[in-house]
Amino acid sequence: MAQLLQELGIRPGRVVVELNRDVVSRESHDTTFLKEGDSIEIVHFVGGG
Amino acid sequence: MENLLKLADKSYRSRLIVGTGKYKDFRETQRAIEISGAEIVTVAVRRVNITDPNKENLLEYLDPKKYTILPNTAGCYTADDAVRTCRLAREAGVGNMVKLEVIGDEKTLFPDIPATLEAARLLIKEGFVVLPYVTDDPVTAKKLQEMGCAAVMPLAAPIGSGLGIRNPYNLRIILEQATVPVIVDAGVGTASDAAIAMEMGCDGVLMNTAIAGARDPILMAEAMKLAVEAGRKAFLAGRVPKKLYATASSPLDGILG
Repeated sequence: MAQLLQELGIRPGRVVVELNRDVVSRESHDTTFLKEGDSIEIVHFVGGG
Repeated sequence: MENLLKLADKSYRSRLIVGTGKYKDFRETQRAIEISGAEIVTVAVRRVNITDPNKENLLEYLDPKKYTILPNTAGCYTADDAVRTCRLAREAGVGNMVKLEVIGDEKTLFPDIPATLEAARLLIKEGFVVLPYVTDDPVTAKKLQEMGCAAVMPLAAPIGSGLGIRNPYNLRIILEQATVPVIVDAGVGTASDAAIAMEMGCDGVLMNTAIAGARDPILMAEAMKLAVEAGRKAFLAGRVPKKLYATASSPLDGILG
């Protein structure tokens, strides 16, 4: 997961990642491995009310 | 009298909560929030645009040490999506307080009450401090406070409508029965709307469009700060009763003639 974020040019400190609808904590980015068919969401905070 | 807004285990001097949407840019957002004196600011959770990942980030303009960041679940139409959004927000490391909104209708943005109750129940179980956006319905407000929500946040009018408090009588009932802070959320249009909410005894006001959509958002942010403060003070001071006929302010004794 850490590698994916790096390849996408995303700083991990600014985003939160979800793998197959489960949150992946920042500490476990390095130890979370991706496989074919995984669904990933990368979110961050934007302006809202 | 102590004059702090208490939400769960935290106290705030400011009773104005502001959103961060609809501003021209992050600098304007930052300035408006600063002038408003707000200590709690709402943010939304959205997908990162992976084709432009290095775009400026809102949090670079809002010091989380200075402000309590209150993530919302805006745009969620199911309890599941709202819970999922809150879990993601919590992982961002801004605490466990969330503004829960589960929308039931695209046109009015009124909340889906059964889904809001369900999401609140799940979130409280997971240890979140839940501030739910609800219609001005005393029964729902009561259910949410009994369930363990840290506040109830009835709308004044539809989100972004600027119509002000449409049903002060319902709001009065909600206030009368409240065991948690009551924060008017959505529908405020101008300073007097915020002042009225506070004069009625509301514990706070949450707004976004009223400030961000004003011709001069920075000036309106200041107006709202003053309105919330003035309304709160008037509430604490206790207003005079309304009477149909005059009562002279000057003494009746010693009048010439």
